[in-house]
Amino acid sequence: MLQKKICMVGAFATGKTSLVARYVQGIYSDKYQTTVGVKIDKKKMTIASQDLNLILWDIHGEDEFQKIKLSYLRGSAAYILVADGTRRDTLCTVFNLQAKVEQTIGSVPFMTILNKYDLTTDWELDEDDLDQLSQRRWPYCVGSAKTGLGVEECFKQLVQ
Amino acid sequence: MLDVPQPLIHFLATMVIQDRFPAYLQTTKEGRLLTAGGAWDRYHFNPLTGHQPVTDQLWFLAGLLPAPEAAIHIPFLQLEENIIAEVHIFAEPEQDWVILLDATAENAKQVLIQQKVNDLSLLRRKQSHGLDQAIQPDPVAAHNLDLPPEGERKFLTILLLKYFDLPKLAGERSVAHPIKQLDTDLSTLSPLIMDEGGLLYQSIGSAIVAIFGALPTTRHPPLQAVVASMRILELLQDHHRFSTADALCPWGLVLTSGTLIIGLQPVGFGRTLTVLGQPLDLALNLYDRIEAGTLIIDNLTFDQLDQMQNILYR
Repeated sequence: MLQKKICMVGAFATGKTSLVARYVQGIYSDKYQTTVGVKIDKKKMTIASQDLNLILWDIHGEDEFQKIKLSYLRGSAAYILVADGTRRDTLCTVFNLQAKVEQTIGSVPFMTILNKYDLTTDWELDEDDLDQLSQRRWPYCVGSAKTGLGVEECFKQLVQ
Repeated sequence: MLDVPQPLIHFLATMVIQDRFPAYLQTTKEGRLLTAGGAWDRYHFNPLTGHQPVTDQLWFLAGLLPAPEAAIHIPFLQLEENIIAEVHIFAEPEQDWVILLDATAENAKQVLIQQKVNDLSLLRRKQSHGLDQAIQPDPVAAHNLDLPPEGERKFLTILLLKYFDLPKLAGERSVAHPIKQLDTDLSTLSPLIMDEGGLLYQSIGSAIVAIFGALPTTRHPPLQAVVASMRILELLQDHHRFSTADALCPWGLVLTSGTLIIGLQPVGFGRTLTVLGQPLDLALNLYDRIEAGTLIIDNLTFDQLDQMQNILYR
């Protein structure tokens, strides 16, 4: 069966693990548990009557002390950049990381997901931020691992 | 190769085999399994079939084989809920090797530390977030000042941060944009000031003033202030480069040091932090000389840093 490696990258506590858990197992937990290293999951899907195994690499969040090892990205068919919509600086991290990832694995498809849309009162991103994504012609979606909003669509759009 | 006696090599090998549950496999350059052995049971994999594509059997290897020239090292790889493996992949001319070692215990230790770091970062961000909070002395920090009611003289370092884009942004029709831009930058820089034991003191025009040495500390204020300044310049430069494609950081910094009068004056129902003295005046006087992306250091701060360096490297 065809296998495609997809990496989840972003700042720490943006919800990468929760997005994978929502997508693969359909579950969500409110408790924040940091990822150290990499968690790997598998999701089987069918696109245009072709069976496909998505190998999801949930890579630890980047912060001052824990930088992403770029060797993790080797062999990726695509990647998902995750920003936390309630922390604008995580979008800066996404811009920063995208440049590094592209330098490492070249130009492969990617999606940006602006997570935690359920936290409407804390939401910091606005039109200007979305404009920045549009100006770069980056495909993005707004979503929530908690409610499931946009999660399935994000992965589907990327794979398609 | 290190010259290590044979009994020691034997001891180390036994220790690794006992504690780290090594498992290995060897593949052809086409990714077909040649041999496998060691403690595979530990990692809960299904039995492996020889001469079949290894990525069909061990899907975590998808994309990693054939091994590149430089060995791949993945310190913590979680496949099953409670088992974490350290993975090494390296190439030989005719075949590739994959080695797994149990890293569950080491990972558990790291998770504890990283969880604390991340929780504190989120908490720190929450506290420093918001323009109103960021340009006022943090009330929690102010309580820790431990100042006599009449105030006192203290050796402090003043950090003045000038925001060059503010006049331009203030001229824009939109009111929200300048406030948002300033808020974003403040959210970035205020944790760095707090990390080094600094206190955000006041906002004056296009400048923000922070003080070092007011809060209890074991380090010298000029050193705290310099470390914070370097981190601020580096981080803001990065943020602006990626968000506006402008290579120049729109912030310029001044550091001055000296003995100042510091006190908490009662105002209404609360108390306001007051700082008076020549170093603060000097920082304000240097306002017009600041250039974007640069740091000006006054003589006294420089001498203090120089003295510390002499002590450290004597």
